[in-house]
Amino acid sequence: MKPFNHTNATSIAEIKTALADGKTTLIAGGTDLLGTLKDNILRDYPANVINIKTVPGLDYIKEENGMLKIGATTRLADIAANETIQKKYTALAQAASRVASPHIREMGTIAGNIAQLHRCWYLRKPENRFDCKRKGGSTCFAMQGDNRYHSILGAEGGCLAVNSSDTAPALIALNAKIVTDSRTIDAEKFFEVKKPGNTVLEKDEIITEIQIPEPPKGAKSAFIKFAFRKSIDFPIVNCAVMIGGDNPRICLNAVAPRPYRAVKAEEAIKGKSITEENAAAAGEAAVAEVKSFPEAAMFKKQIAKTLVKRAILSLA
Amino acid sequence: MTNKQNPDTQQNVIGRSVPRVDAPHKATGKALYTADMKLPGMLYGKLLRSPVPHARILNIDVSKASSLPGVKDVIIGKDTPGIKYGNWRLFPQTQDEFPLAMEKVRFIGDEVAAVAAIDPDIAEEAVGLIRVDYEELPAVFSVDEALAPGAPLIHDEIEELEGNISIDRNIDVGDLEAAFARADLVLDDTFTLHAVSHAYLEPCAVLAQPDTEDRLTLWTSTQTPYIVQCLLASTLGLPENHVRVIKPHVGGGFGGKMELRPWDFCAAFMARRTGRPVKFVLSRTEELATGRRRHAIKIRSKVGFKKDGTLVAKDFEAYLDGGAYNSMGPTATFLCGNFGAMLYRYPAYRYRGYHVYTNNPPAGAMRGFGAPQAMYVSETQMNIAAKELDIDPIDLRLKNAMVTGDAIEGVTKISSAGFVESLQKVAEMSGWKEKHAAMPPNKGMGIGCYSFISGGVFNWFNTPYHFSACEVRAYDDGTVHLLTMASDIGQGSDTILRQILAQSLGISVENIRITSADTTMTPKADLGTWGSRVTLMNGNAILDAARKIKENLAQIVSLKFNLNVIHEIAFADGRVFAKLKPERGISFAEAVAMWVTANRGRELTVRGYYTPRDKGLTTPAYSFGAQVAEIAVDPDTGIVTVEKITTAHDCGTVINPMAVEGQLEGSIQMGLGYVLSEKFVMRDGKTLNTTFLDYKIPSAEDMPQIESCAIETYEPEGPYGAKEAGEGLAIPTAPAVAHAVFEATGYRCKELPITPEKILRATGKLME
Repeated sequence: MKPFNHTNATSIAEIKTALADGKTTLIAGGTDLLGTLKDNILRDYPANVINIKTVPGLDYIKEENGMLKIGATTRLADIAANETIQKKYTALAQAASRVASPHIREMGTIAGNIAQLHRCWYLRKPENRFDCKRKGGSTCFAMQGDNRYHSILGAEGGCLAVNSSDTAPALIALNAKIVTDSRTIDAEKFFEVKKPGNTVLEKDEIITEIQIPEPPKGAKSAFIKFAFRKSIDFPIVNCAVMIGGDNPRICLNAVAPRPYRAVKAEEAIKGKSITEENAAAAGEAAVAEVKSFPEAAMFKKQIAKTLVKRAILSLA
Repeated sequence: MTNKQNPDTQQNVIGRSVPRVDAPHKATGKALYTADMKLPGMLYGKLLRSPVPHARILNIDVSKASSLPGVKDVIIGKDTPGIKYGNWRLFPQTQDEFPLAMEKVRFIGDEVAAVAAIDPDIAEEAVGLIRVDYEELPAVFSVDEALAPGAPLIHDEIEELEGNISIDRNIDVGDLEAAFARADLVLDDTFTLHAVSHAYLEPCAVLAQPDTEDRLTLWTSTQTPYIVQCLLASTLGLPENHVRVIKPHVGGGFGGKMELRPWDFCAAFMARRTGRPVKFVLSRTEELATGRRRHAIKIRSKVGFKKDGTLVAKDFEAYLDGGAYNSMGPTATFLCGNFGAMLYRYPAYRYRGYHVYTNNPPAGAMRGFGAPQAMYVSETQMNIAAKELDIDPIDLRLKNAMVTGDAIEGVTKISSAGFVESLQKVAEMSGWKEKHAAMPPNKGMGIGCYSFISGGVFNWFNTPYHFSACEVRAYDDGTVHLLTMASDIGQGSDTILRQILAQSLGISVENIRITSADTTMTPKADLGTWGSRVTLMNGNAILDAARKIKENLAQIVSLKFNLNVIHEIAFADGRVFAKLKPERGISFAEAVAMWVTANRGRELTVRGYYTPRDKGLTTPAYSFGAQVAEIAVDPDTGIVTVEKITTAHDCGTVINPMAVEGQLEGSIQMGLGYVLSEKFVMRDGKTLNTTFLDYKIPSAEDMPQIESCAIETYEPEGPYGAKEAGEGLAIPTAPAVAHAVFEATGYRCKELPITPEKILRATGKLME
């Protein structure tokens, strides 16, 4: 790792000022950032790192005004263990409990988990070996190269890398909002980025809170994940569903450059009883738009429809 | 059972789970590994590696690197004596590596230059400033490409070679054609077995310190200090004895640390040039991208059976992808053929083994070198045959199983075999008969078996010294100092060897101090920790030394009590006494004190040696075992969950049950990785998955329930009847799991690893 200055911030304003110079990076749990710095995968190396964990009052889980509020620096382990979240916002607790390993869940924060950089072994090759599209370069190396874990729903801005957050699809299924120092963004819109990067956040914009409305009466949610190992691994595909209200919500991740709201699957299951047959139909609908490229798409498609079906069935 | 016991006492040390001598220091973080060591004035080394798979080096410009402030030395091949090395010294044409590339580079990662600087970042920066002009050459990345007509010659400098086959090995037993003519069933299958990583937790590291005279000391993470000493001396052009190699704590090796490596040489060479200590620590990325790996092997195996299941013949042909250099490939080629013929009685057997150069990173020794691949094939074919012949797979094995006294003509003989008992026991423990016949859907139960060597006989290193040696010093305070070159790399030999010595001298383990793996302080030689050799070979050297100590002390006690010559002198419970008159005896300490006095002040020091003689070409003793895997397959995702592994194994006498259990658990984890999750993703010779995130060794959560039972045989050549428990256990998991997957899905894997995608494809789930 190269040397950088490290500052413990005491306020959001202080961080905002610091980030404005373009040479400073924010650190929370550091479980994604330190890996990128150690491997030196990006074009620019920050001169300064400013720590948000020392800003008081950002680590909380509370219900208020008919919604759940989670402070930006709340650790994933705390979310996974929180009884209210387990009971009412189940998909989020389940998603948080499946992130990486116990050590990483004790360090990683909810804001960091949704703001994490994409996963692609070209993008993440040490020493910025591949100056790819997502970094602002001209080539997506996965297009021609080994793309077995990449997008099966086409590229975004020419990039095939997938968003691998476990909590993002849960937040989208739960209709959450991301609050920053300057605005409130629908979780689904949070990832709609057109330029290089991974979220709509401006360079000096800071996530302060996650808000989740209380689920509609009778609604239940669930999250499931498929990975090769039971621990550590990022998802090959994951899936969160909320069913029971008027409008079911279903979101897949790691299948596309951003979390994929499976609208057709939602339509397929809307108003229907949860049966093996209906769940399977929703699964098929979820993958209706899957492309035939890359070659591994067939495999991920099979996993994705299975997860949608099973997530729905788990709420029967 | 009685053989292993010291007949003179109830307090046996053999067979007891004596805690590991190194455990407290490792558990509390006090144990020093090479990377932890620092010396005053120490420099940090970094290597420049080839970015291309095959090229001629036209020019190397180090001027910018050399002039970077903080850089103390930069070397390239031309600065070195340019002496080739390799472990197979007996056949010098197999020694095909230079410490740094001379004319050519042959794989992505081949070492081209080295820098020593005052800190690691400067060294890293300097490496980036070296300019190398390459003339790229055509490259080959598979055995098929390497053997195709017109393929580029990877080692065109070795005159003895005509193509890219560096080694071949033939075995011919019996009349193959006549035997096949008698067969009712002939299987003819081709298997593709992949390369995997040792994934030892401690990446390679070395620290070299120059001495005031023309000598140097090297601390290095190695399994073989003696081999490093000899080959480092020869590549530096120094007398062997001027090089002292010390093995600090080592975080695993599994065969990946049993050679002289370029960083060993570069540290030593630059330490001598600069007069300062030089240290190298490899990164995980370097290890995974360029490190040694298990041989990928393509095996075609034709095997014939009679209707009743009797084996009649086997024709076994193996092509090993050796990568750019021989490394331990010759041994893997040899063992693949040896183990193609093991476990069962083959009246006729033919082996053709070829070790092939490619431009992939070199393969080397890895836990079983050649044997896991051979036995994956053999065991899978036994399971195919059982199905075809409608015979229970365990019954089919019992019908053909090797027993004590069996031999492979002209190659090896079996002096003890608990294979039949292992098969019977594993069937009983796992409830095979009832469960296997009635598995629920998507569940499977499979069997795999193994055998392995307890140390090698063939002297490829061409050492003039004994294979194992030790010195034992007995003191008048009742303590004993054991000095041996044997290397504990985490497998526990420092503890096991103390147990063997304690048992033979009748003293407690706590009274034995051990100094191990230091080439200057311990007697020559020990070939190192590989081939599961240490317990048997060093154990025997210790018994030789103990016998000499006991002869000396027996004289003292006989004299003191005027014992009749027919008395047997016993050593037990810290005493030396007449066996039939226990009251006529003294403490071990007193006996030593009296011996010293009687010898006018001499120290009671003896040496013990062992070399296997008249034991065939392969090994003095074989372990055996059988393993049953129970798995569940998710039919919609193809993911395999291994629920339970049951093992019955014959490692002769168990010296330390806890250590054997540790070997078994680690073996299962490694076996599961081999069969289910580990694979190098290669593209034109480049390794793409170079982190433990993308190179997937099984996590703790992926481990199954484990049950095991030791079938104790008594190996006449082993110390207290012991054989190996290090490498063999890592073999059966892959074929057992693959068999279980077949039973659950109908998918028979002939191309490892078994992935969810392959299962879904085979079961028709990916059809559109």
